[in-house]
Amino acid sequence: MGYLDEPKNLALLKKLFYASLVVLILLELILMGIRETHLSLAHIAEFPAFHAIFGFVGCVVMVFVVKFLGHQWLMKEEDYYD
Amino acid sequence: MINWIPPVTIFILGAMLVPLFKGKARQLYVLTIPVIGLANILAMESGTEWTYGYLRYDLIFGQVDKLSMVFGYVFVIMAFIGVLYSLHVKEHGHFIAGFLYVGSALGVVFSGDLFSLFIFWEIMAFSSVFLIWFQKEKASIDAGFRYLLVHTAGGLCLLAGIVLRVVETGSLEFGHIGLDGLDTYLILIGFLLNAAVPPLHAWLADAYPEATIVGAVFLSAFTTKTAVYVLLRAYSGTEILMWLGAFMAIFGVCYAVLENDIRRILGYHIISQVGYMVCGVGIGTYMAINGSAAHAFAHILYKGLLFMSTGAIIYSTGFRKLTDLGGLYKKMPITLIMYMVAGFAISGMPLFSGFVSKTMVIAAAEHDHHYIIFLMLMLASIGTFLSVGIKLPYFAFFGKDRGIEAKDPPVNMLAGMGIAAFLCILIGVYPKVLYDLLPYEVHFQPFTIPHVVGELQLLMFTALGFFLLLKKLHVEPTITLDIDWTYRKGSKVFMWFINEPLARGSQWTVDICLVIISFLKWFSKNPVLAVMLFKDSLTLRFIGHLGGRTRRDSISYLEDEKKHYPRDPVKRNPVGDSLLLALMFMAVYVMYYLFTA
Repeated sequence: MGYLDEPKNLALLKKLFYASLVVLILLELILMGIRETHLSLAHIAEFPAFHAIFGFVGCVVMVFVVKFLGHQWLMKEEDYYD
Repeated sequence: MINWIPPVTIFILGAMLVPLFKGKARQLYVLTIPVIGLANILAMESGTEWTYGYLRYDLIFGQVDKLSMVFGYVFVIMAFIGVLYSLHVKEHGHFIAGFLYVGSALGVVFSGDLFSLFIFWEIMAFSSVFLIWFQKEKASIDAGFRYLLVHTAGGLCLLAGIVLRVVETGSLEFGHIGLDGLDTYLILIGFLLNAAVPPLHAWLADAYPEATIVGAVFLSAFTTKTAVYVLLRAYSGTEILMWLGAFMAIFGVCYAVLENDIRRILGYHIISQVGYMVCGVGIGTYMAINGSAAHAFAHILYKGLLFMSTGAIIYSTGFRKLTDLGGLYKKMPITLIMYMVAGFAISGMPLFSGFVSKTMVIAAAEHDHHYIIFLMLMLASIGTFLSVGIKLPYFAFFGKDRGIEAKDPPVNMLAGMGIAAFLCILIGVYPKVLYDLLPYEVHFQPFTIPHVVGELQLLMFTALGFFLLLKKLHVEPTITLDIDWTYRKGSKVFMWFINEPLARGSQWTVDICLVIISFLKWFSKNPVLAVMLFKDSLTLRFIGHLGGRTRRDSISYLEDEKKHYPRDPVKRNPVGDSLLLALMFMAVYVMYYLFTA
């Protein structure tokens, strides 16, 4: 039995993961509130949680677009060139 | 008095002497070469040494400045790590090819003229292809030939550019070139091909996964990074490179999402990571050039480590596709740790090397107000973490446990990985070691709280996206079409053209000639009778009978004559026949003259 075969451990890891997301957003809000520090110089990246939203949306859009192109066009059987 | 020699000589001499050693002695010997190489590099000082006159030109083998030194250091370090990792390999050929490859890459980095640069450039292609061929499978042999053909084409393009340039400027000197005229474009294309910039990139993802386990570790380090070096020296500030680089950074990660072969995923990530460096070349500010050089340094180490740990998986399990792997974390824990160090480094996780180098390029784009480039590079970071940081380890080490028999690799492989992992963390924690080597003074502080928080947000929310889309992201047993389709399918069309239309066409010519020859042979047996026969058959056709005979008699007479041809040939009247032939030729000649004159 590996560590990850225990549902209890898996649940704990999940909780930690979600907690870290919340902490990261809070950290940014605190930085902006206390020191008026932004995470980026670029004006487009100034609003709160820009990096988080960009990361999540970028990931989702990339996966959908690329997988769509793959299934429609680019992905072929392994013996395609034989 | 100079107390160093061009590093290329150490490795080329080292390659020649490999076959003299056996067993333990050879292991010691092959480890000694990169150590001597490193000692030699440490003794090098800025300046131009080892210049030889050749014809009217100067060949320079020792042009040393801070830029070439960055690459020199990391090349010999990686050579040592690669040799340590491949210590268990029995064939001499591996080390000979490896040393020639590393040596010629160092030759390029320290050459001060275009001619010796070109020679080393070609040695690089011709030695590295053996690291692919040594896998000795049909797929590797084929991929190796494609690799060689593509690089030969690129090399010729480079040579054409160099020749034009020498004719125009009268100088072989290798320095800043910039885009100006046909020669500079040709040289740039030659460089871009080795940097695997789309659409000249397919050789990389095609060939590297087919190389031997240790061969791929060497391949991942040198070809593309020498290209980054020459681009930095010759084309910094060329704006088109900024866009090409940002595009290829995204292009590589997109393909990696689709791929199933673990080393092909990493191959596409080389393209993506080199994209950051090419982009830095294009931005061309001090910060961007520092960023490119730093990222090349960091990249060689973590990419080597990625290829070493995936190589360990292939070495141990015999599988190379994610669809065949799963659940290895219990059986190969050390490999997992090593892999994750490299995975975090390439993703730019704080405290790992990629964070201090990649973000320098991104920050350079930001400082120079290239916000679209900035966003493109951030998007590529997302894709990097998605595939190398999460997808590959998830499906190889975690995911569905397929009960594969596996264990961590031999100690020499672990040692090689360990050194690379140590350096990835060292650079990540204490970036000054790397920043001090860079060509310009560094005014970049990676460890500010906003910077760290921003980067972590980007990565962790990418991870959130991955886990929410896990079903959508399952790996599929497929291959992915790329530009190599044009020449892999194109060559089939070409071969069809050779075998069908071209071969048939040439056969027709042969057939027609044979008919003519056999006719002439027949004709020459008795030309007089042949002409008479011809006349008789014409008469028969148009008049209907031959003089004084009925039609039926005429036909049987003609058939009889044809059957007994040539009867009693020429001898009867040799003079008359010859005269007839001469007259015929003259008639033909007169006709010819009449029409052509």
